[in-house]
Amino acid sequence: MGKSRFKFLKPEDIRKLSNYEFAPKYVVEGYLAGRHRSRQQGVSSEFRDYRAYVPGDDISTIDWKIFARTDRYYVRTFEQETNTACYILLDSSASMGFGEKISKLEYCSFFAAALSYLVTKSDNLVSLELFDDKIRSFHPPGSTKAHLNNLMHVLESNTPGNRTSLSQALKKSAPLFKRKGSIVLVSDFFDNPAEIFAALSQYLHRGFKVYLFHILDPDEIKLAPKGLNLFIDMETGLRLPVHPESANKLYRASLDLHISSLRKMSIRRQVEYVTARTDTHYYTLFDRLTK
Amino acid sequence: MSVLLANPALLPLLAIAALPVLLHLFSLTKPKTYRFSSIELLEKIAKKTRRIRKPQDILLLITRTLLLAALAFMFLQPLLFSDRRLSSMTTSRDIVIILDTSASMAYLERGQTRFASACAEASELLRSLSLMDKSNIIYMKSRPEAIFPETGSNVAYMRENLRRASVSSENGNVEAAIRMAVEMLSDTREGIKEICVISDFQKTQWKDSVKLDIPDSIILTFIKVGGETGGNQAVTRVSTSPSFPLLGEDISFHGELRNFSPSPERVNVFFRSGEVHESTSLVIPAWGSATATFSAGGGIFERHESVSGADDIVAEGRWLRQNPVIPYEFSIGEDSFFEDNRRWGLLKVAERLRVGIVEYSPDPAESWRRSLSLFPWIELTAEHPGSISPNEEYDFLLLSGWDGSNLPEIKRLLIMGVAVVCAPAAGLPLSSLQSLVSPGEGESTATVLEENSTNQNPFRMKIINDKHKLFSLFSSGEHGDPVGALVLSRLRLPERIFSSQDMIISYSDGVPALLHGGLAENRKLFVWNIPLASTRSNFARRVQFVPFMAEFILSAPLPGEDLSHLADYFPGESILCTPNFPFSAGDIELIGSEQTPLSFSISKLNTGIAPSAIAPLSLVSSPISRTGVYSWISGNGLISSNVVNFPIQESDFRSIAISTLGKRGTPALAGAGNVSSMRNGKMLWPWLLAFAVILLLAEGLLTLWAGKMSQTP
Repeated sequence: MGKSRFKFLKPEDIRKLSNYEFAPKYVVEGYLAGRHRSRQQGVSSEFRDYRAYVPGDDISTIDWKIFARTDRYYVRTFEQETNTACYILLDSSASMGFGEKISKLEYCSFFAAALSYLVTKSDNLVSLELFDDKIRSFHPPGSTKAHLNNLMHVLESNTPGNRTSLSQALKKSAPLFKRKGSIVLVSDFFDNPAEIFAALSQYLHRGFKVYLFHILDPDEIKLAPKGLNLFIDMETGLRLPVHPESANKLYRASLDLHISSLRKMSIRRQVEYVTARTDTHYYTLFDRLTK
Repeated sequence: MSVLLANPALLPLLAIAALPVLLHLFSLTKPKTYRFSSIELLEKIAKKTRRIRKPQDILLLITRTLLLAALAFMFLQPLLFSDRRLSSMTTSRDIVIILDTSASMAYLERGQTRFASACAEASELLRSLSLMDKSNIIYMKSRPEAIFPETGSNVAYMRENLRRASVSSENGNVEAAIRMAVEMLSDTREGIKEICVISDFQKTQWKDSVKLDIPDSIILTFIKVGGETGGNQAVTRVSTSPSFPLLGEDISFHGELRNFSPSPERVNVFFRSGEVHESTSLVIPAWGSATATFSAGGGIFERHESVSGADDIVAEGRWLRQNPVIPYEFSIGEDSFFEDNRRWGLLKVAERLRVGIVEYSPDPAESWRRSLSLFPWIELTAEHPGSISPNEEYDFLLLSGWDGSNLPEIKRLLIMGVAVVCAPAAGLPLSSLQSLVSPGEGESTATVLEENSTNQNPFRMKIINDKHKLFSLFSSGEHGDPVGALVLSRLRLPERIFSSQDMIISYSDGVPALLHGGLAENRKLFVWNIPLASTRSNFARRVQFVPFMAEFILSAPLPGEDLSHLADYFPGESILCTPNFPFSAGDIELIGSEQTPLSFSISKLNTGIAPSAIAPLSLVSSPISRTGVYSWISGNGLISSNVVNFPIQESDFRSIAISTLGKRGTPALAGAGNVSSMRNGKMLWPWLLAFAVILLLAEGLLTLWAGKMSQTP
């Protein structure tokens, strides 16, 4: 896909993402799929690609020619080994529509599009699910170009929906995720952390690798307006008069507590947890992934 | 109290006070809306901040409203009036101003006397009266004086009178002034009646005991002039010791100085008597006293000039007969109040003591005569019992073997201050002896009887009051025991003869030998029960007898120690003179301290001393206004002198707190310009400004506090 006509995947994005060609391959394979390499004995007849050698690999699969050229160890991978799925769950609730310059939903859509591109480029399967308090749409894993185009269309036509319920969406998605793989949950996480992790536990038990990307707008971190304002909840419609100047510090402390709670639970469950602001480029999310 | 507005046209400005309320209500009803992703977190903290914020918001609202209201009200220039004053603006008033003209009002403060301030206040008060009002002024001194006998409308004359008025050296009689004012207002027409007292409210003058008997229908207002304390030093008392010296005796002059200020003061003290000038310096502690003493020998008398100005130095005896009293003066350096910096005294020197002996029986008269005639300073006269006259001038009268006769004359002499030594005769009713003191004393029916003893067992005496001056010569023992005589015959007297007595010597069985009776009545009566005839005792044959008699005469209180004509007079009082020789008005002059003649009149005043049969009249001066020495002079020289001294209570300038007078009158105002604020209303704008400043500070503090509380997680 040299040129893209899609909103969330611009040509310049593709160019930048191409820089991630080798590394992203590693990211996609080694990072996203590394731990989930097949344990099946024998090698498939269909050569797929190369990947970096990791301790434990069968040394008979090392490609000595590449070693001679590069002084690095690479193994040949076969279809079976690299056939993992990346399930992208994109929160499309009403709260994701918040944001003055760029809404959280748009920001996450950029990220989801880029990630989808990278996954399909490395011939892995990518799935996309849009949800709010229910599953709005589910697109099974695929790796073809047509599948990617379809996902771009879905992202472009996506709009903020109703209330958030991450736990419900996760619970209902379980039967849909037939293949093992990675789950990338992109949301603003305005939900109960305990319920979220309760819903995630079934995936963790099944061996899924879970990544949580917590996206917030700067105005959600520091309340912007001055003076007495009537805050209207975008999901519930509830109203609340607030003095942002006097509430900011307490609000920030409360938000930090929420984030901290999510982070602690993530560490405990060996779940990757990344926070990001919409005023930083979504590339940074990939940088965070490679650390 | 009522409030009037000087600028009522600006009343709509008060609407500005509603601004914070309107803004508050407006912000509550129509805040800006803001769509937010999730208010879940905000809901939790909003409850908490609302709990904190609401009372702070309300307090801020109240503070800001009050602040704007105070500022707006200030521009309206409110004036505070008493309700009575308000009602008086439309009703006629009768007002009596009591202006304190006592001596303390001459105190100088901040360039003007308290009296000047008081006159200014009074003048201001008169100026504020309307045509319907009537007024009068009472000058409060020792005898208050009113300008008019009743209230009137001649304000111009009263103001003129105020301009010419001056402060006196007198004490102020508060009760008399108030009484006069009340009487004046009792006859007035219907309307508001008011007494306004303008004074420095000196503590010594306005004691709690001062009764302000004012009907409820009369408004009593106080206006205070002068500060709370004024530092002052004064000469408060002068005296000599001995009080009545004899010719040639050494005299000490004592001047008591007091410091009426909160810090110690060093003063220079000056003494003057004729050409004798002495000085010293001493420190008087804060609110304390000190005494300066100057000693003078007998030669002091030689250095006095005669009052007439003649420069011849007369012989002591003749001069003293012409100048029976010697004035002396204590003074200190000038301070901010100099009226009390000088004080005078009069020293009466006796050339000789005049002792009369009335011989009802020879014992003890003979021995008395024999011993007393040895002393040149005793002028001894023998009196026949039938010739005792209360007009005779004795210092002492010795009654030898008194049988009870001449009782009225002897009583009169006792009243006049003559010391009477009574050796009663056997058979004298005890009641006669007792009645010499007072009629109530003469109740005993007993009779004085003689009793005898033997050589083997004589009566012995002992000293009871060894502190008596009589025994000071014998206290060293050098002169032996003055009462160690043997007595074979005495009178049997009861131990207690008078209700108030001082036993000086008694017999060993308690029978009085020598006692001083009638102490309570201030009588100088001695009962002598020591026989002196050789057949009855050896008392008179002992070597101690003569010095004993001398000491006894000298120790007895001399007549005239309480002589009223030597007592202090105070400004405002009339001084008296009762010559003991025939005179006519043209013969006598009264010369004041500035050598100017003063007016006086002749009257039959009862001075408490029996007037002379020859000269039953007294000379009474006009009320004396100034302190100093005043001399009554006739062609033969000085008849008598009087001193008019400053009243001590006027020297202490501490004043009472007006609040303590509150119960007795409407609260007074302090400081100058009070009358105008009282009449024209008290301006409230400074108070409102101060209130606004306080509210501004409070608003700032509340805002800070609100910020801190809301930041606290």
